[in-house]
Amino acid sequence: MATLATHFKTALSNIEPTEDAKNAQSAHAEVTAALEADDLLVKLGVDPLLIGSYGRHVSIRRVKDVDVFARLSKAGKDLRPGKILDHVEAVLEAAFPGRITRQHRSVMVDFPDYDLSVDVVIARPCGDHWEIPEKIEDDGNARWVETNPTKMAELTTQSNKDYLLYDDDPGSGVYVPVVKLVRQIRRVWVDDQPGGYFFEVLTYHAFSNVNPNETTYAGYLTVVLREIADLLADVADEGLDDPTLEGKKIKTKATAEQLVAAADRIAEAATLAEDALDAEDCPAAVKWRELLGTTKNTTTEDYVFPLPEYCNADGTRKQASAVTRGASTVPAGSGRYA
Amino acid sequence: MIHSDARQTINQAAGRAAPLEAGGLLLGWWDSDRVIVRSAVEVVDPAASGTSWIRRENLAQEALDRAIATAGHPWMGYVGDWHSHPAPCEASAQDLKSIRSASRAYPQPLLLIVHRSGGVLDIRAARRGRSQTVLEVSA
Repeated sequence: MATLATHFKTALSNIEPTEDAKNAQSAHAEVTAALEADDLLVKLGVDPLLIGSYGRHVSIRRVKDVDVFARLSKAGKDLRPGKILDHVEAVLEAAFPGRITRQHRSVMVDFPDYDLSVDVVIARPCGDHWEIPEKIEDDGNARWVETNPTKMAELTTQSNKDYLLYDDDPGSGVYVPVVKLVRQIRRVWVDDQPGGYFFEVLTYHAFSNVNPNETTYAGYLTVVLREIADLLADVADEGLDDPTLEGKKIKTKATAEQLVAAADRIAEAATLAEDALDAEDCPAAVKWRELLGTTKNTTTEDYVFPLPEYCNADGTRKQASAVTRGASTVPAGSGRYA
Repeated sequence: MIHSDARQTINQAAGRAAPLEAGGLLLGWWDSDRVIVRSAVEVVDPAASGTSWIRRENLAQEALDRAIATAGHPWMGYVGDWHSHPAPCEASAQDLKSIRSASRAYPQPLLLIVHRSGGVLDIRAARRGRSQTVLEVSA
């Protein structure tokens, strides 16, 4: 059984949005500063929060958009979303001239230097949750829809504590890495829809249903991917439960045909993962490469899963007579460095 | 050759430990006379200070055994040490003495990586008790 832990770690590094993360942080800080400098928004209790996959630390390269949830904690039921969004647009236009796009329920700020955008969505309190405008009409009124974006972040954090690679290492959370790998597989194997968040929720349900207890990334990914494939087969008919709102379903732009197609593709991907898990190192690496594909939206499309140094691209093992394995024992005694 | 995984581990561990020193083992293999550093592990020195990190045999061997067992890589093993300097100082005379001493136990060269403040890596080598010149370092 090939677990290839070293190479999975590299694969995870290869999809980590390191540079994007720095840029997203800066962009978020700039937008927050602009919103918090406005008197009206301050009176409405503006309290911007980073949400979306980047906010939950499950984003992968490349991060093209960052979602900011502009909580207006003092806003009442009489808040007209059209009017306040006009105001947010004006505030942001003054701060970022020529870089603003009004969308049907949000305002987008472009950061061309970072090649990413920040999407600002306003929200008003609704009991323990928040509401965001569903679609704003020409008269400025809108239907509001309940949402709870912070709940998904809480569930993500908790799941990453619950599922560990090593029981004695609380820092070895495996849920977040597996979500990232599943998001990458979606990009490779699924045509556009359903989107990344849908697959993140599928992954959450897969962990909850199976309660996996593996010892490697390869093992976790294989088990979870099969459960996602099984879940997807039912989702076209029954919808996907929203883990953040009791009794609600996740909305998706995917059509029933796209859901069925995605179920078929992910079933194929799950079979490939199972084959890889059972194979010897080098043929397994070739299968993991196929499963995880190449980085998307990057300057060059590089393989996510590295070919092990001791393997050829065709899955055979290299003859490496000049190689000496690293030592299996450390030097005796202590070594002091100062 | 120092793989980016090793650099990342060292950077993160050094950042977490500052203002104390952090340190650990370099894992990889030898390809002829070249030392290939594929990854790194941290070994916590309970008595680490801002100017000292000690590789303690028992803790280091446990960390190495675990790393080899979990790596799933047939070539992986001990090829040297790393530690951080919270100050912008290069490898000290004590550092060079320690890696020279450690290298007496192996026929192949060992590497020493010193992570200086600002993320600069100072890379040294020793073989059979003598310092060696590091000719080339690539990603």
